[in-house]
Amino acid sequence: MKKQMNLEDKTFCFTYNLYSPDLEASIRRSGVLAPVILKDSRIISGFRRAYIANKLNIDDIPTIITTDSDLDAFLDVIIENIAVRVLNDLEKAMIIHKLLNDFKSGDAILKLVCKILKIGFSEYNIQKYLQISALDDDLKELIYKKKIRWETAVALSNLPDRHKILILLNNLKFNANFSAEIVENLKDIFRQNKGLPSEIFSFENANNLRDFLKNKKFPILMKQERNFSKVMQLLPNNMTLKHFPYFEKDECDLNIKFKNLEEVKQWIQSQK
Amino acid sequence: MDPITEIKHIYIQREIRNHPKTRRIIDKLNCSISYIDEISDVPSHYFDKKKSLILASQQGDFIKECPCTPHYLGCKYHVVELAVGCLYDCTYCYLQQYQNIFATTFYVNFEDMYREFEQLLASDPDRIFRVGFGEYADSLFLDDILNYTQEISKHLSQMKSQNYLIEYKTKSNNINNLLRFKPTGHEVVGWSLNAQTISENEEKFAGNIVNRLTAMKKCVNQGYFVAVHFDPLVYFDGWEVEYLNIINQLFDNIDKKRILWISIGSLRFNPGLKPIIEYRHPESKIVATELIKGVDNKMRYPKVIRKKLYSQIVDFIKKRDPSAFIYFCMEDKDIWLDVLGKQVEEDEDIGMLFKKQVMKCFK
Repeated sequence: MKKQMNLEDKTFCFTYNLYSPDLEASIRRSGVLAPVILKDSRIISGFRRAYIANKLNIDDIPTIITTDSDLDAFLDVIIENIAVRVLNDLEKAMIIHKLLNDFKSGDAILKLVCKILKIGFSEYNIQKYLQISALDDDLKELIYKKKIRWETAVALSNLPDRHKILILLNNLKFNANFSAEIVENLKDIFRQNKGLPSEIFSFENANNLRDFLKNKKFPILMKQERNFSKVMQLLPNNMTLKHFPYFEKDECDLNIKFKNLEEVKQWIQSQK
Repeated sequence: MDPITEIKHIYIQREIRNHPKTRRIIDKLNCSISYIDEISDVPSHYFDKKKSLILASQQGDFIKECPCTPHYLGCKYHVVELAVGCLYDCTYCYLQQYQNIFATTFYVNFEDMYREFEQLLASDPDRIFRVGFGEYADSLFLDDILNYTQEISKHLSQMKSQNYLIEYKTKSNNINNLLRFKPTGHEVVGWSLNAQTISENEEKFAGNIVNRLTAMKKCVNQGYFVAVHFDPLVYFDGWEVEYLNIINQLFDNIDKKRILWISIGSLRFNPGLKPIIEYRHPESKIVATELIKGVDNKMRYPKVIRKKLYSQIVDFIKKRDPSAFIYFCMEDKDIWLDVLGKQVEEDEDIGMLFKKQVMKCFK
């Protein structure tokens, strides 16, 4: 049946990574058990099975031929997949992209699919998934490997020198959370100034870069932080001072560590 | 720009297709029409880019307590949900996060709203209720066609309870019908004002500042009390000069005795609105500035910036009118004390300040 299949046609495919070592082991052991669904020669469902079977030169692949319309077939595949696995953002993005661009689906179908995929139906959310779908492959791969979040990837794709920034993040060993903070600040600085500070590429220490960007984006808040640190330095070693997040309240908490109750009593006496 | 001219299509909920207000709007607006069962049947504006009007029946409450924001002080205000969705599309507008349709919904079943007014006013006869139109849409956007301001005033003036002030909040100069009747003394027309740069860049489709001030002046001449809302204040290069300009323009043109209250609030929004603003208004810079997450989890300027903004604005206003009644929208008690010198601990305290102020209308 393999000859009937057009393995190049990806009209109905939204699986991000077709290779699965577990499935390959299973197919090596038992062959392809679940049939691949075809419409004409195009694969509707079973891309992974077909892909791995082809790689292993297995010709005996059970198939079912469907006569559903393209859109109905695509919707069926989405529902089948949702029933057995969790789709990642890249796959959801591919579905939205295909619905709008390949299947020309209307408002009602898009609403339905968003509901199935648990995507809040709004213009912004649709646009968000279209942006993910339009990302370059290297950024998609980083999202897939959970090295960066999709928001970070989209923001990066809109910044100049994004390859240099990626290298910088990689060299400074930023995790996904830190990368998100750095890129968010870079995005805002770029939006404000229509340019990026060239110094960023010369940083060799992650925390220094982080502080540099925070000082650029939050000059007033960082000044407050510095003033606060100066007061902290005046405190004896057994005392710590904490301010309200972002100094939203003027009050601060002073924490004093005592060795024992006797020391507490002495301290109270000294305050009288 | 008159936003009505932008409306190209009307969706009408079947159950109110024969309501007199529906018929009047159909007669006046030359638009294509479709009938729907539910508002959710309207296509999202991903597909439907033309601006539309939805005529529907309000199924929930028309009148609600203003939700304010957690951990900050409210002002005991009520809001009427007469319409939802604003055609002005200001960059900072919170409606962008909630609205999925490129349309304004207008509820025609006023009879239910009047019933709610009666219940509300009777619930506390000693209180003067301030009830605002314009929380979810510009309050005057359909007044040219329906003349509802006159209808509402007339209807409320005939009710048994008269312990109310209604405020029509607007950025428009759509006041022709307001000028055709003598105010009963229970109406306040409130304008949102901002610095020229902010108005030009962030409120592109609303009436320009000069037109708003001209409309305000006409309303004052007609006998209305007016209110001014400097909200959202934006911190940008040159803010001091520009806010001073608008405050001077205000007091040069408007009799200060007719300005019943002035509210001040700074830019604030749910964090989820930021990417929407970035996407929908790529030229806008207001969300890329120094904003922190406040105790209510909304993005806002750090307190030190807010205090600086407020102190300067209050100073500008007090120089022109030392007795101006100024209040903060969604701020904490420290700001009230530090900037206005008023010790307020809870919403009720602000309610009492307002009570004294609004009694001026009833003298």
